[in-house]
Parts: sequence; C-alpha cells; structure tokens
Amino acid sequence: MRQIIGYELRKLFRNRLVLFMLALFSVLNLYQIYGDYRKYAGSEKSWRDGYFAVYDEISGPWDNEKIRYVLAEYEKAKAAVSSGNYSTEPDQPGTHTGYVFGDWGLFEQIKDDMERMYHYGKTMAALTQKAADNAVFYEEKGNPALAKQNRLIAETYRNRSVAAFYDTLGISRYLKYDFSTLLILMLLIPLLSPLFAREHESGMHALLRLTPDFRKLPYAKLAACCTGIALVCLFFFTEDFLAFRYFYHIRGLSQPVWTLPDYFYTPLSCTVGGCLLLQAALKLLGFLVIGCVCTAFSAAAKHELIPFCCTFAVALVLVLTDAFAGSTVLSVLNPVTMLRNEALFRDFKTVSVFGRPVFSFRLPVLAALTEWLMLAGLTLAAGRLPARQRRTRHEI
Amino acid sequence: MKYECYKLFVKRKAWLLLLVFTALRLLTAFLQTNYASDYRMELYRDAYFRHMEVLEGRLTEEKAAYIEAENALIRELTGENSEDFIGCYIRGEITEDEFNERYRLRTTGYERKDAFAVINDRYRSVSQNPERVYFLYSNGWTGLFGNEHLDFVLLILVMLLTVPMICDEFSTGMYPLLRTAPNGGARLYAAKAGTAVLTAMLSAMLFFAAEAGFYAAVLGLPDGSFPLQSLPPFEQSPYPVSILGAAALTLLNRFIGVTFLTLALLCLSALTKRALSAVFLGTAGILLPYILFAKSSLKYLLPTPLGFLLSCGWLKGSFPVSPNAQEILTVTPAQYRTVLLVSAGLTAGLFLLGMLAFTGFSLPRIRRKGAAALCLLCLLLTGCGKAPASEPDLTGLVYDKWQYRPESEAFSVIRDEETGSFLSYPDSGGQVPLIHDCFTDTADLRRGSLPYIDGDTVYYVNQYSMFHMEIIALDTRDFSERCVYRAYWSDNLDRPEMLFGLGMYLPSKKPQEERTDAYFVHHGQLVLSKPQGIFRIDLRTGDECCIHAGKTENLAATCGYLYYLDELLDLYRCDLKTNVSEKLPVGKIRHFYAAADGLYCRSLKEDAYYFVPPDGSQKKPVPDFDGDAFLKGELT
Repeated sequence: MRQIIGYELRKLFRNRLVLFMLALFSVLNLYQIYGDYRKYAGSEKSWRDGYFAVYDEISGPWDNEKIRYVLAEYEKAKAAVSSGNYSTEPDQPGTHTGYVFGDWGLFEQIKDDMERMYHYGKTMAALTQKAADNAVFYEEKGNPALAKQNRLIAETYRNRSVAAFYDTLGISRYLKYDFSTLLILMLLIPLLSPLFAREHESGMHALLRLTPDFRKLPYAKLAACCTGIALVCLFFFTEDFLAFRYFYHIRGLSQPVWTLPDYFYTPLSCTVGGCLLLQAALKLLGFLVIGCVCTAFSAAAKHELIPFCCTFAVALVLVLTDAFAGSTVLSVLNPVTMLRNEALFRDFKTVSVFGRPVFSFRLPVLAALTEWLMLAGLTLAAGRLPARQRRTRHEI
Repeated sequence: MKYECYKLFVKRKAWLLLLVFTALRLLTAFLQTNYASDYRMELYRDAYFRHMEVLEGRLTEEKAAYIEAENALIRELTGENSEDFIGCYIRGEITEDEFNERYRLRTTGYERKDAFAVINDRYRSVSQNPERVYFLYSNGWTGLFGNEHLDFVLLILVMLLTVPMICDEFSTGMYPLLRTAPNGGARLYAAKAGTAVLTAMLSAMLFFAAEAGFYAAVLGLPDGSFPLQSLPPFEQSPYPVSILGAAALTLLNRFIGVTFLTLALLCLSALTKRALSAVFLGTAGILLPYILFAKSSLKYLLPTPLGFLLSCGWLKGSFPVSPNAQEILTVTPAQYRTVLLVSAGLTAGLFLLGMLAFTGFSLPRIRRKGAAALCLLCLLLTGCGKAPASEPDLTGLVYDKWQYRPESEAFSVIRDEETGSFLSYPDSGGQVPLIHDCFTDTADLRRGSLPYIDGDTVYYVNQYSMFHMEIIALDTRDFSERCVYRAYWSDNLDRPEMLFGLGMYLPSKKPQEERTDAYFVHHGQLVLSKPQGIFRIDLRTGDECCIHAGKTENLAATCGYLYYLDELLDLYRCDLKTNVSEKLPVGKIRHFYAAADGLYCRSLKEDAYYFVPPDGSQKKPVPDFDGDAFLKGELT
C-alpha cells in the first residue's frame, strides 16, 4: 500500500507543468510578500531601519528605563511637531526614522502598544471579576446558560498578563497574509483533477481493475491526494514564514497570543507560535476539503477537464459566498472560512449546544472535518465504480 | 477551414454553447445594473431626466444660466428664508393651503438639492472642458464599456471552444492520421487557428451586441455622437473620439484580446497536448496578473491578453484604481501603441510556435475521449415557521417619547450618565445593572435611546457603530437577551470583504437608508420611525407593514392609537389594529404630548396649548399648560 501511495505521489508531482508552476508561484509569492513589507513597514529604507532599530532596543521584559525612554522620545517628537518648527527633509540628525514627523508617528504607535500590553493584566483581572459576578447573578436569576457562559469567560481570561514587549507588526501581517492561499488553490486544482480522471481517459482503468491491488487503489490515491496537499501547503507556509521572518524580523513566537493587537480578547491560550501552527492546520483542513471536492469530481468524470472546471466554479462560488454570507450558517459550512481563519479567534463568541456554551470557532472546524470525511467517502465510492463503456467518436 | 467551422458549430454544437453563454452574460449584466456607475442618477431618475431635457449636450450660456437659476431656487427653498412662511401663517398672511404648498416646496427643495447634486458635480467637469465634456445620461454607456471587470464568461467560453480543437485530436488518436494527410500539419493548424479566432471574435461581438441591447433597453444608450470625455470614467481620456467610436474601439480591443488569447491557447494546447494543462496555463496567465496588478497599470502594459480584454483602460488616460480610491493609474497612447506592437509580435510568435509544435515530432498518445456529467453544489436556506398572529392588546397603551419614563409595576429603568443603566426594584429597593456585557468599556445604552418596558421585557437600542444598530429584548426574569431588530446604513458605497482582496472588483452596494430615529414597543409590536416613514413590525410573527410613508415627527401613542405629525405639521392618528391613518381636524401643530385621555397640542398658528380628545373632535384651550412640568409628571 505504501508503495502505491508513493507511486501515486510521484505521478502527481513528476509533471513538468506542476513543477514549473510551483517555481513560478513561489517567486510570485515572494514578490507579493515583499510588496506587503514595503507597504506596511514603510516605503522608505530609513524609516524601516529606524523602526527595527528602536524595537531592537526596547524589546524584552518590562523595564522602567525602556518605558521612560519611549515616553521621553515621544514627548520630544510631539513637542517638535506641535511647535511646527521642524524640517520635512530626509535624514534629519537626531532622529531614528530620518524624519521628525516619522519619529512622532513611530513613538506614538510604540507608546500605544506599550500601554495596551502593560495594562493587559489589569484589564483581564477586571473582566474576570465581572464575569464571575455575572455568573453568580445569572445563577440567582435562574439563567444557567448565561451563568455557564460567564464562568467560561472567567476561566478563559484568568491569570492573563504580558511579561514582555515586542514588535507585533510582522506577526500581525503574517496572520492576515492570504495571497499564498490563492496560489495554493490555483495549484491544487490542476494537480488533483487528473488523479482519477486520467485513468479513465487513458483506458488504464479497465486494466487496473484486473490487478490484485485494485481495491486499494482509490485509498492510495486519496492518501496521495491528502499527502500532496499537505506537501504543497507545507512548502508555501514555510516560504511565507521564512520570508516574513526575514523581512519583518519576526519576534515573540513564544509570547502569549493575546499580546497581538487584534487578539486582545482571543479565547485562545497558546503562544504566538502555536497560533501560527493552528492557523496553518486550519488552512490545511480547508484545502483538504476543496481538494476532496476536486477528487470527487475527478473520480466521477471521464475527462480531466471536467473536474478542473467544476472545482474552479465551486471554489469561485465558495469564495463569493464567503464574501457575502456574513455570520450565518453558510459561513459555518463554507470551507473558505478555514482559509480565512484569522478572524475566527479574535473575539469571545459562543453558541449554546445542549445548554453548554461552545466556542463558535469550533463549529466551522467540525463542519470542515465532516465535509472532508464525507467527500473522501464520496471519492472512494466513485473511484471504485466500473468504467463505463462509451462509443469512441473519431472525428476527421 | 470550412470543415473546421462545420465541425465546431455543427458537430460540437458550438452554437448552443454560444447561446447559453450569451444568456449567462446577459444575466451577469442584469446583476450588475443594480450597481450602476452613478446610483444618484437612478435614485432621482425622473428629476434627472427632466433636467437633461434642457441640459443635454454641449454647455451653452442658456444652460449655464439654467443651472445657476436652479441652484438659486434650491438655496431659496432650503435656506434660512424658507422659515418665513411659518411666520406668515402664524400672522395670518397666508392660508393653510398656501402653508401646505410652501411646506411641501421646502421639503421638495431638499429633494431637488439631492437630485441636482449630480448635475452640479458634472457641471464642474463640463465647465472646465466645455469643448469635450457634454451633459449626458451616462450610466448605460458606462455599464457597457466603462468598467474594468474581466469578462469571465467570455474567457471560459473561449477556452471551452478553443482548447479541445487541438487537444482532442491527440486524445482521440486522430493526430497521427492527420499528420499523414496532404492538408494536415501546418495548413490544418492554420485552419483551426482561423476558425478558433473567428469563433472567439464572433463570441466577443455577440456578447457586446447582447450587452448593448440590454443596456439600451434597461438604462438607455443616448447620444453616441457626443465626445467620449462626456462619460465620467473617461474624463481624462486623451482620445478625440465619440462615444460610439470609443465603443467600437473597445470592441476592437476585445477582438485583439480574444485573438491573442485564442492563439495563446492553441499554442499551449499544441505544446502540452493536454486540455487541462492548456486551460490551467491560460487561466493562470489571465487571473494572476488581474489579481497581482489590480492597482497597477502593469495589467495593461504587460504583453498579455488581459489588458485588451479589460479594454476600457486604454481609453481612459488617467483614472482611479477603483471608485473613491486615491491611487491613480495612467495609460498613455504611446504605451498603447507599444503594447499593441509587442502583443502583435507575440501573437505571431505564438501562432508560429503552436504550428511548429503541432507539426513537430512529439509522440501522440492515444487517449480515449470521455463524456462528462457532474452535479452542482446547492445550498439551501431554510426559514423558520411563524407563530400564528393574535390580535395585539392595545389597552393601556400610552407611550410618548418625550414624557416616557420606563417603568412598570415591578421595576423601572434608571439611567445615569456616569454609572450606567440599572433596573430598580421599588419593592426590594435593589438595583441591578441592565447590561452585563464583559467586553465593552461602557456597557451602557447607545445613542441616548430610551429603553421601553413591555411586560417583563425591556427593549433597548444597542448600537455597535455609527452605521449599525440593534434593538435588544432583555427578559428581566432570567436576563436572557435576543436581538429583535437589526439595521445597517451607510453614507458611502460599500464593498464586501473578500479573500485575496478581490472585493475591489465586486460592485459596490448603494448607500442604505435604514436609519431609525425613534421606536417604541408595546405588546409585541415594534413601531419604528425612519426617514422613509413609520413602520410596524409584529415581533411574534415578523410581519412588517408601513403605517405612513414619508417623513414624520413626534411619534406617540395613547388610547389605543398612534399619533404623529407628518411633514406638513398635520396631526394624524393611526388605528394600530387596522393600520388605517386619518388626519385629525385640529389644524397645524408644532408638537404634542400624549396623556392617558388625550393629547396636549401646541398649535402652530396660535402658539397656544389645547387639549384634544383621542378623536380630535374638539379643542379645549389649556392656557396654563407647562410642558416641562407635564414631562416631570407634576401636572394632574
């Protein structure tokens, strides 16, 4: 069985077109990441250098000296800007970014980030206390569902604090980056469309049915499909991470995820690195679902163009539905939600399941898992069907 | 080539595909007309066309004078002096009918102002370049060829028609036979290429003609002889052509684009010998630049079919990336000529390369042609059943926004600006916070809204942003909450968020007017006052009806009726059981207060208070009425 899986994998990837597109897409991906970096980390080199130099200096565990330094630099820049007596020429002496106005913007941003992180523990302690009080209140009022929800809030946000300060721009941009998702989607559809269909098209299906291992073949193909998807995802996710790490000087992977600005109220209790892995895993799940849509079409079709067109159409419909559905049942069932999962973990949202509060992000994950298994089953069922005999038309 | 055409149209039934895809294209055009280029022209269509009867065409002195006169009239109707007619009515200088007329004029003055705003915006452009910019109803033309949407329907059709022409010869095993035929090889490839190109051009022309017919019928395509710069997206165009000429150039560009695309697909088909590979490469070659260079002029400047398929950008000169965007793209005639030449060369090269590949020495692989039939994914939404409606009990209904104090027998709502809102229980003397949300800074009611008590339920407005509100029903028995009404509104065009930032290519939604100014709830009936009128929603069944269309003021209810002032300051009462409104014969009213047995109305003319019974049959003067004291509950 392992041999068959290996052979199917080789069949998938020993395709000059696929390898060429993989190389091209990886170059395009790097180009897009670099464009993202130029857009969000400042278009001027002096600004970017100053930005990273300042963060190198002040990052790390809380230190009163660093806080005083930031406040002093902020006040100095603010005073210079307020007075109006400053030059807008580049490479100003005594500045970090090369511009007085740039320094003011930079230190204002750092000050706001520092305040948010520094007071986080206190904010969460107050929130936890309020949730505990609410739990008691709702118990008295005979509302066990809301009481349980508030107990869950108290439990989730208990003992949270931020022990160190660091630059979160790189991680935030990485979490929002989704161009590689498009590239993976565009690569997977032609990669997987011929998986079953080519056997029918080439007439090999009838021969394979005579082999002793034919029954294992659909399983092997499916396993190869999932492995292929995982390999492609691993390739692009690794490239993304390395590129972002290089350009944005990513730090703080071992810091708690709630240190990120968009994740202030996240219910997750993992590190930033753990969150990145979770995001990658959910994207992989989304791709597995769409990949199995493709293989299901491929197993039912006799021409490899059909699953390509159908999967492309389905993917387009799913992406459009995701844009317009909002927070409805459609968004729970849509596998594209897994591909755009950055927003899933930002806020505390629950749904009541048999009177118990369940985090709402679990629903689309469960739905995606179920869809994957169902589509895999469909693929296996279609893949084991006998080849239909059709009269071949020869046209002159 | 005749036989290739026969094969394509008769054997492969390409004519059926053409018809189906043309219908599909019309459908997409229909969906896009809801998001017309300038929605204001559609919003005030009648007024706009009335003005166009005078203004259409080149700017003249008479037209400029007309515009100035209309602006002066609008200023007069909506300016400070518009209030004088109220004083005239009070002094008895004008009759009630004249008052109504002047009041209506003031209201319509604002509507005239909104309707004329689009003319004023165009006037600014027209007056700067009167030789080239004319007044014109442009939505039809802009919809036809003014936007940069990629025609995916045409793209898919061209791929489905073109790719199998070469690839099927390999898959059916005909290729080796054809190679040995006298007219096989290069001549056959040229015939196929000619057929494919002609078919693609025919498709493009058919689509364009169908769209033109559609826009002509739905929106109208007037005055094609006007200069191209009369269309707003083409204001900066450097080309001295008419609109019809620009439409013809757009079609020509599309011909070039589909020719380029067709020959590229044929070349890919001949090189890869697989339909899937050719289609994938063709799709990637169009889609990736479309996404990557969405905000860059490279999508036009790269020698790919994309720029020609988008086509309109070549004629625009300088234009924003998308409506309301800051980034400006510039495409010059010189760049167009360069790209055209390079693309022509590339197209010729692809043709030759494809021919060489088709006549080359690659080994044919025998494939069996297959058939395809697949199902589509359907998504269903299910609705909820509705509870049968019962007659609402309106006894004891006394609600007035001005004097309402949210209280019931069991509790009342106390609002404090600093500490928040509380439920106060007079029996026990205790107070409980109304809202228990852990995640907001000030867990308090938004927009200064009054909470309403209906039995054990407190209704309050929770607004999350300036453009979004919800009415929440809080059950005070267990403090569970549910949203009973939700509204969104926006002042600007709104684009949906989409994966890969592709939302910028989707049409924008028109601004929504769902703002709610006042509301109250009684016995499961939610009554909302919006700019469009008064609406009533039965919270049990979800049934909605309009009680009064048009602007209203001073919404209140008492004695089983809903009372309100319309925009002419006439007092109406509506029977909430039948939703029938009637005007009460009490004259013009400034405002009124609802009491348990009637209304205290302040007359516009006399500027004095009268007590009016529920049916408005008589007016009893109440000279010492003090509105403030009444609101505080100090009057008996």
